[in-house]
Amino acid sequence: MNIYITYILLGVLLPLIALLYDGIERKMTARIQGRVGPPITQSWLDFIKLLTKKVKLPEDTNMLMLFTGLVLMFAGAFIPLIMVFMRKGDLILLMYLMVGGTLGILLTGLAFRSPYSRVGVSREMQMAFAYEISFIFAIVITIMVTGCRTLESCNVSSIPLVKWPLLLIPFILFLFVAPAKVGVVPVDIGEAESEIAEGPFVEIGGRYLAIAKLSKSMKMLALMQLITLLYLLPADVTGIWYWIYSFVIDGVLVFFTISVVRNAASRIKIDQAVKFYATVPLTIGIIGLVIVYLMRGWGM
Amino acid sequence: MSLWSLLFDPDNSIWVYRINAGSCNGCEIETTPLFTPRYDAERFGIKWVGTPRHADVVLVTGPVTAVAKESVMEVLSQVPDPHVVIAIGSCAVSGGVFRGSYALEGPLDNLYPVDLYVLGCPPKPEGILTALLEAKKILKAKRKGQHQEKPLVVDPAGMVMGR
Repeated sequence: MNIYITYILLGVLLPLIALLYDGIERKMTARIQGRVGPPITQSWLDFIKLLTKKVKLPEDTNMLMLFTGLVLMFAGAFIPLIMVFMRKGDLILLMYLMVGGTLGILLTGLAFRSPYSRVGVSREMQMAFAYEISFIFAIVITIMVTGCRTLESCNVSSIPLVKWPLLLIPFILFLFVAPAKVGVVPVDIGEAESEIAEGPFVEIGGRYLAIAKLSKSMKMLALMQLITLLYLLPADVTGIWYWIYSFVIDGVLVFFTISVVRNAASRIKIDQAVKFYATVPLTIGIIGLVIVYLMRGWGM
Repeated sequence: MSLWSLLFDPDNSIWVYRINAGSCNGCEIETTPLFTPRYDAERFGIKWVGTPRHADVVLVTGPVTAVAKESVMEVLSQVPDPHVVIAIGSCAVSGGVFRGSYALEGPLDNLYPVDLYVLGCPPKPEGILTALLEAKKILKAKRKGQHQEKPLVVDPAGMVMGR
């Protein structure tokens, strides 16, 4: 098949699949709580509904900042999503793009003068400082262990068996970072629905909110697929089996890193979250980096 | 639900915002169980939102007091179209036991067009859930540009009257 047709197909289908995963996550949450839950297409229906609504923004909205933020947010989720599923591109570039998505959220919130939005941006920024370092550590350790930077070769199956335990460190870091990066309940302090009414998104509505919600779903799927790709993908899984295996493992990861965490804990305060991310994952990351560096020095 | 409505019907997603316009909290206590496992309104695509700018449906409880009037009108002016306004409970419908008081500016339909009334002091969660499901049909009509002539009334146990 022509490579351009593949990219266009993926560009249309993967956002839809990301919304479906969001719906599956809501269904799993509901089942854990003993409810029936919405149909798994619910997030997709929400998306269509938001597109049909009229947009009503405050008069003093900074439109340039709003559009920049939305474009950054969308690009920071859509491009990584295509990259990780096509296994094309550079890990460092992926890291920058995903940090750019967080920057997009901040810019979107700063476009409004609502105090809720400002509080949300401030908390989002503190959280970003706390967890992005662990995310960067995870990617750097992965690159140092596997010795490559591209997504097609940088994989658990490309290194000898004795080095596999070293990849446990970034894997655990990713599991810590995933809820914060996606923004689910114990650590979604910047977007807390019940306290500050979705923080940076408090004033946007209609199609702008649709883009924000779509970006969030795509970021979740991209992060899950990145974890699958780097740490959980055997070498002999190719072709159609690659897609089936990826989607199944992504679903399992969504269940364990998002749904279970979300139902096991209530939302914590910003100082608790920052303290946690600045101690546990960061310590693991620094120790991991030292171990990997020393082992490289010994020629392993 | 048919496959079409599962995949493409925007009316299966209703985001609800609540306003307390001087209510005694009885109606709030009855709206909260909608999201417990017993009633589980989320299976119909209903979700609470924290800001009027995301809302499709606005639930107003309480007679609109003189103090609350300005805030209520400002919040209602921020809800994007198409939207449905539901008056919950006797106070929001008619003023209830406070009717005629010097402290009231309401009831709500003196100030803003109301699409659905839910009777009862307080109404049961079944009544509120029925009203939200009726709001789906009103939203569908409003998306097509139609307007219903007279508002619907839902009794406390969830029977729809006035049709």
